[in-house]
Amino acid sequence: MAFAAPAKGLRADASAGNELVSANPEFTRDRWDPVPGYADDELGVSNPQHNLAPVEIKEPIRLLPTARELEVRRKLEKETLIALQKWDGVVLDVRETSFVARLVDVSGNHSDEEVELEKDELSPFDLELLEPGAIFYWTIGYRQLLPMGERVRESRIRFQRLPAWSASEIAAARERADAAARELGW
Amino acid sequence: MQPLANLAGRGARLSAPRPDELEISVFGPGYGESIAVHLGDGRWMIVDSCIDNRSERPAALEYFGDIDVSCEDQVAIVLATHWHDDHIRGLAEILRACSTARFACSHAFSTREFLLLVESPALGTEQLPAGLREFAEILAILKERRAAGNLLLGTPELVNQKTVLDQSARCEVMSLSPSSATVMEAVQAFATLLPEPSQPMKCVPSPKANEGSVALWVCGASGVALLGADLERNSKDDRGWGAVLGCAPLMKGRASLVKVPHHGSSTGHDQRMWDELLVSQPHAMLTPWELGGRHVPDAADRDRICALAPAAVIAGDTVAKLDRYQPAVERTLREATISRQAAIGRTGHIRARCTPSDKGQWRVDLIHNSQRLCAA
Repeated sequence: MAFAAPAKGLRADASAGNELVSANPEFTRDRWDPVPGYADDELGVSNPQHNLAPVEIKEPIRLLPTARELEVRRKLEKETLIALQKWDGVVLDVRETSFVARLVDVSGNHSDEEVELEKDELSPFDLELLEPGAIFYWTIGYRQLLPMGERVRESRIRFQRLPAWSASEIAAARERADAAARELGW
Repeated sequence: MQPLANLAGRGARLSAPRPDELEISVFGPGYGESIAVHLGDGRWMIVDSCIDNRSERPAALEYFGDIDVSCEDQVAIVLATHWHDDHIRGLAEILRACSTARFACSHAFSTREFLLLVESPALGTEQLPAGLREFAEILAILKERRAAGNLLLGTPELVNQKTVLDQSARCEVMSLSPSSATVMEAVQAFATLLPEPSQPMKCVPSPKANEGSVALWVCGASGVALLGADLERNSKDDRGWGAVLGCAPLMKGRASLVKVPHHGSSTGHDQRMWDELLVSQPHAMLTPWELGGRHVPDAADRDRICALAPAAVIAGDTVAKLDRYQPAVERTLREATISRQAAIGRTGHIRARCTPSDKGQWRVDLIHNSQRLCAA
């Protein structure tokens, strides 16, 4: 049995000046509703309002954001991230605790660079995609925090997520390869 | 030994070689390494591609513009020694410009495994073209030629060990690699890169090994040169430089000029190549290369090469300068990276020429951004 935490402090939105915790209304609604038949002590929580009791949540608590939440978060991040530099990168070599990549300036104003980065710079999700040939996007910029407008320097690496090969796509590529061989007289 | 002439900054007008003059021009690093060979009588061969970082065009084409060589009519062969980004980028542009040139490449590239890699969507981004796209473009040019009825120019010349690429009264060009064993190995390497169902799509990386590289023996009436490509040493004698030594009986004499293999790295060094295929203290030319903080030639490579070829010269910047970013970006880069270096140094050009009257003595000119490798 899981219970929601008090709504006070959990609900947050950008307009109120707090960092957005969740944009999902299901996730942020007031849940401190009285539950008939349960005393506060039995529930093991401190009820700030004695006439209210926690409500039971039937779904398990989600630690990962939903797609909708991610979308809203990305939109908000886009609005507040001032990008100073963007690169496209390709992984050239993966070493024990680091990886080597070629960086190409997206603006075209700077020459290509080759860098060695710690694997620690990557999120666990991106780490799974780390292999030679993997493509990533690296942005360095300032994040403008609301409401006071503090600036935080930010480095963000995000790996390209591509669909998996299907058997039919591979079969089609094979047919094209055979056709190319015929066309070239091989 | 002839003194080096440095033409950089003199504003000297470059001229084309005489009809009987053999020329080996090495360009690099820019993005890659490339060689232009004058085969005699105004006919040329271009080996690999190097994108000049000033013009962002293939350096060999820029040079031909400077010396009034018509790419369309005078380039007879365009050769891809192997499939590595630093040798192939820009090769399709070269082949398109050299519309009467034959295209030559390793026999390994004619296999189904390689064609399947080329025909699988080679993913990248606008800024990061996948290496295979260059080959896809080359194959498209060849198909266009065949569709136009030009079967000779539309059929790639497949190179094995001992393939004669060009033969005339002035010069003969023969391949020293890849050996059959190397081709088999390359095909196996391609097979490991093939897409599998349910596997995520990715930008296909080029294989790490360079044993499949096409090394060349250029034998002219005036001099002999060995162009080592990125060919490496191998513990087995049927591949790498070991296999090349098996061709020694076919080679006439020894070479007095060498393009040092694999940017002078220790992996490209096989002492038997120096002892059995080259004259003592030959002219040596090379281009530098960097990857993830590993720079070649390093100090040990430099010492080794200079002991064997004291007049060795290197094209381009040995250490390329990094661009400066805004202070906040620089601070973040310092914190986030273990090492950082410019991927592209300024492109250099070294030119070696030799006429029959020179009796095998090459005249080496440092055209621009090139220098001696060894201390005087």
